[in-house]
Amino acid sequence: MKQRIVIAGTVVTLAVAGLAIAWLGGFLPSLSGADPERHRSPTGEVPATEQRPGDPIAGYQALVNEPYVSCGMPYEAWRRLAPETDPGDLLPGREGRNAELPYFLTAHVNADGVEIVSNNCLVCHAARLGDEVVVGLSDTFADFTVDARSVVNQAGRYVRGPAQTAAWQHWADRIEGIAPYIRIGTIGMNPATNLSWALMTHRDPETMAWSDTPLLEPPSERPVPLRTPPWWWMGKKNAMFYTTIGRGDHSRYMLFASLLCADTVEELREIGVYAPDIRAYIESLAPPAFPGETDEALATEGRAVFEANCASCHGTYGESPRYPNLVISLDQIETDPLYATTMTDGSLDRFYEWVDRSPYGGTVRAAPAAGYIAPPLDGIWAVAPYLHNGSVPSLAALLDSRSRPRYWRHAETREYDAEAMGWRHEVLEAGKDAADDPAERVHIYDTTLPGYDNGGHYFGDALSEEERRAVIEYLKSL
Amino acid sequence: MMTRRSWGVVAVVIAISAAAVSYFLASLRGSEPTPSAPSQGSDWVSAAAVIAAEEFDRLAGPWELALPADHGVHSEASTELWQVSAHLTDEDGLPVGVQFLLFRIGLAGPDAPPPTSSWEARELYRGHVVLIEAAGSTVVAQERFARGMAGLAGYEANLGELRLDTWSLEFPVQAVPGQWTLNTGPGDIRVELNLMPEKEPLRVDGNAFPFRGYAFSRLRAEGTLETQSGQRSVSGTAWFEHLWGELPIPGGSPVASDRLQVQLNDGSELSVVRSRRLDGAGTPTVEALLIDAEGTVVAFDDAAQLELARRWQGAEAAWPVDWELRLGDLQLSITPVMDAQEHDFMVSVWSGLVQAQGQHGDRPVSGLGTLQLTGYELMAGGAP
Repeated sequence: MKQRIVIAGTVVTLAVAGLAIAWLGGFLPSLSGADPERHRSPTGEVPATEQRPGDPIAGYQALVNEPYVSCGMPYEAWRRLAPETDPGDLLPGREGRNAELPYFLTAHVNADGVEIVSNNCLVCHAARLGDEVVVGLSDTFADFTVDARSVVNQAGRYVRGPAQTAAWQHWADRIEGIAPYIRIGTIGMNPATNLSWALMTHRDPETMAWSDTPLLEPPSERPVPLRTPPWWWMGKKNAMFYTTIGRGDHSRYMLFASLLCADTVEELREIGVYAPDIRAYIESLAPPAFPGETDEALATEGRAVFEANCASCHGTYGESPRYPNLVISLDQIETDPLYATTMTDGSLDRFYEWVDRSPYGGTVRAAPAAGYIAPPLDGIWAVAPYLHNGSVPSLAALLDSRSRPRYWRHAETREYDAEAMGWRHEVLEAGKDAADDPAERVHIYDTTLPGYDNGGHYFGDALSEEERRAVIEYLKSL
Repeated sequence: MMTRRSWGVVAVVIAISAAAVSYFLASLRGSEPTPSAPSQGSDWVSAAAVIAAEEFDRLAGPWELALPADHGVHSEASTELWQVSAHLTDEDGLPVGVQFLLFRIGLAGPDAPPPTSSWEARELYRGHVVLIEAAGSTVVAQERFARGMAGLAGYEANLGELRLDTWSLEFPVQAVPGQWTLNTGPGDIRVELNLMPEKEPLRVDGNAFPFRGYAFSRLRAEGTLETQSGQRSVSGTAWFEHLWGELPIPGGSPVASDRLQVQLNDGSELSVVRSRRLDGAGTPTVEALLIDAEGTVVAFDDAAQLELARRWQGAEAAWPVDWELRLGDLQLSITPVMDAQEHDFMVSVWSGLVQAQGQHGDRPVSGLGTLQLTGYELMAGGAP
């Protein structure tokens, strides 16, 4: 008995010695250069950073053809699971197999000769608007409520032979690592921020080697609900994402989207060669024009109201546009604070340090502000539902907080309501708790849940009903 | 508020029965190797996959369920499955289970030239029957193989009769809500069951999956068992499924699945599929459907909580035969009527009669079901 205690004591001592040595050698990541201030940005104006130039035409080609997400399901399995591709889901300019795949999938042949089908950027950053795919528009109806592992196992039933099996296992292992952290409770909400943290949890920042067991403390299994902003705002924004966490070289920051599958620094470097082109393409995007009629006279009245009440944060539009790039503090904006708070309370700093330790540490920096960017409003009509958490279904409700529904869901048919400016929705009597059927529950937007609050941005309440109507009419033209 | 779910989910859940069952087919060893395809599970799998790829197209276009015609063979499909799981009691009220399955594999696609001889095999049939009687704790099973041939194996449309040798399943040819008859039995035992649908069929969404089909989740079952010791009456309920298309054949795939079908005494049925990676990695996933007494379907998918409560060590594997299940306000304990329901078909499999006991909200519920477990002897590093 005594002997065992002594042995255990020796082990502890050795471990402590090991810690001390590691510390001295600067090997412990959580202690190296731990400076929370480096990972915070002030509210207020976001300074511009020079971006690497790129070719937008080459960028589009790369975006829709290159395998920057290199793992996925074997094409043979996908062909059996997927229905025929809706012609409306095809995009121009795609090469080879990609020409027949829906916009959100890209095919490539791996080193073992297996054709792989993977999700690309457009799974979150494109959406159908009528009969057309709009690149840059986030999908209001994107469904991240299912366990990604179910899809993996369903595909696995059609996987055949050692080469396909190896490719499937590679993908399945990565999905296994991230699945607990990317499942969200409501259709339309996007867990991508948590996806980044989950991937960093499993990858060595210096070598990009994947580890099935977490290398850092994993993120929460309850991702903060977020509405994906449209890409065409990127041309105006000096930093990426709602809290402006993405500072520095945007094209290199975008490389983190390849972390699901890129197992080496070299693979990331290869993608990094064309990343500036993709960034240039994204920044060249224009929003889709409002498809309905506008009342020009009313819109002109609305412009005056807008410029007096909204432009100081959201900028001006037209011949000489101006965009101030302002992060509004939580005190001022009063929208749901959960996202900005969790980004800046220190609970995620280990991931910001991961970014620093990655090969891109010198050129990109994760530094969120404790507030939300007041976005540009170009194409705002198409971006519903509104606020960073998509809690407000229409612009009419955004400008009049008294009319914001506590519980709501999108209507069964995807129909745009040009009057209220948003996708048609039903106001519900009760929230998620009252729904017995899990399939129904995921459709319910319940603003009483953490992160889903629909308060804040009360600036429209002070306007008259006529002024609000006029502003909405003006916003149709942006 | 309850809503009807798309049948896509139904499709997935039902598909696994095909998977579980065709697994047996997939494991026929000793047949001729197929050098063109790398052999992972068995050569039959590769052969079936090659046939399917070369001769058959993925089913496409609109499809509406048409009965009784759809009870029959769909020769445009590479694989097809008919399955009856009957949950009965004998005259003493003791549980009796009957599992009847017929699997067809097409050897020639719809565009193949007409056969040059009536001996030319165009399709192969595999069938099995399992009879479980709690009284005496007996399990008897038999499997058969045949070439598709009139009067021997196949479907006779004018009779509405599906046949494999002396086993047959007769559907009503005229009126859809007529009585069906199952005549089967392992060895000398004769099982005759009259089946009458009590719910509308659930249709598979053929757009979401490369197969089509339907399920009758509740048929009234009445009939007899005839053995050397005499004839006994049995009665209860049965579950019927019929699928055709590119059915998953998991003998050669890296995923194996378990299937549970339960018919509860409150008029509802439960279908659960648990899938797992054969390499031992990953977290098993669960897809579950609850069909209430009115036929409304609620899908629980991964919201289902499933715990494998006990394993039984058989000749080939440690089978997880006791399940604890929670789906919303339904909580069930699943236990086998006896542990030894491992079958020595071409590979070992555990396919048995189980009892379900639990609560649905504040009401006690119970019932009988069929649990099929596959792939446990293939699991790397012990089964999760």
